[in-house]
Parts: sequence; C-alpha cells; structure tokens
Amino acid sequence: MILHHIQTSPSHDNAMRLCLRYIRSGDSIILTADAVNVLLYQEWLNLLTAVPVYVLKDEIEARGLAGKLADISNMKINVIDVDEFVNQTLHHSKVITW
Amino acid sequence: MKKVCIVFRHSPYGTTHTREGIDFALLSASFEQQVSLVFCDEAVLHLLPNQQAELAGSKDYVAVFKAFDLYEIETVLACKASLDALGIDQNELAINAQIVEAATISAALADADEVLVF
Repeated sequence: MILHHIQTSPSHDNAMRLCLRYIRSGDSIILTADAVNVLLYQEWLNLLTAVPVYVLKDEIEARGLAGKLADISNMKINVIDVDEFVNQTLHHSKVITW
Repeated sequence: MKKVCIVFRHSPYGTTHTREGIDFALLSASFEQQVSLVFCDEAVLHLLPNQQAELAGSKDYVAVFKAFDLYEIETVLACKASLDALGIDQNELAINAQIVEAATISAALADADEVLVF
C-alpha cells in the first residue's frame, strides 16, 4: 500500500510514467504542484481509471482548474487538503516521491 | 537497521541527482543500513563502461560503482524495459547489475522500509 507522490508535469518529466510502470494494485497516487496537470490530459486520465488519485485542493484552485476537474467523469478524483494528505501518508505503508 | 531502496532515474552528468543519490547510498551503507539500488530510465546509462565524466565537467562518481560490494550493497537492479528502450544488452554493462522486469522492481519498492528517488 504505497502512496506515490508526483510533483512534476508529465510534459517535461518522466516521474508519472515511471510511477505507473511500478505501481501495484492497492497503491494510490497523490498529485501536487505541476503534477495536477496530469488530470488535463485525456491520455493520462485513461491510464489512471483504476488508481485512487488524490490532488491538493489549493494547487487546483491556485491554477483555477476546479471547473476543469468537475468535467472529469470517468474517474473519481479525491480533492483533499494538506491535513488529509498527512492522513493518507499515515494510512499507507510508505510514500515514494518520484 | 532499515532496508533503504534508492532509485536512480536521471541521465548521467546532465543533473546532480544521481551523484547525490550515490553519496546518500554509500553513506547509508556505511551506517549499516541494508541498501539496494535500482537503475531505471536513462539512469541505466550509468552502467555503461568507458565513461569519462571529467569531459562533461563532472566528478567521476561512476568509478565508485565497482566498490558497491565493498559497501555491502549486494542488490543492484537494472530495469529491463529501460535497457531495451535504449538498446543496451546485459553484456555491455560495466558492473554486474541484475536485469529485472518491472514487477521485480515493484516488489523491491514494496519490500523496502524507505524508498528515495534521485
């Protein structure tokens, strides 16, 4: 039960792709900083349908992407605050920051 | 004693990520941590022989790879998908890393107490 933490956009860093190569069922992903942009690419959304995905509320609102997120229908995005982020890190066996 | 798994994913010399990770790995090993290393993506390029880091303006930190067993770092995994993508064969590698499938790396990540990615 690993929480995979991605901080960079897939447009210029391979972290997201690498995470998906090694992720196992039961693991989750949290997207912070530019990694929230993953949710704007349909190709990435298609790869994430089976994975619990968390994203920080502030990062989304900072970028004015709340509306865009609402449009995402084919999967559930858990929009959480920092306290819940801490909670999730405790809930999982460990965190890997790619 | 903790099982620490260190993952390298960046290309040699272009950034300082790997060098920092190697320093951390050797330090952890010398503090009796059980260290395992994973090379994936372009970091597998570190495993090629005949490198001359100084020509890229970098300290030759790859030379220390030969001392891994001296530091009791026994587990060195190289991602097969990455090697294949870069057209690198097992016999080209300068050190005897185990070439493994992604699932084996996933298992190593799960097994470790801590995983750090450089």
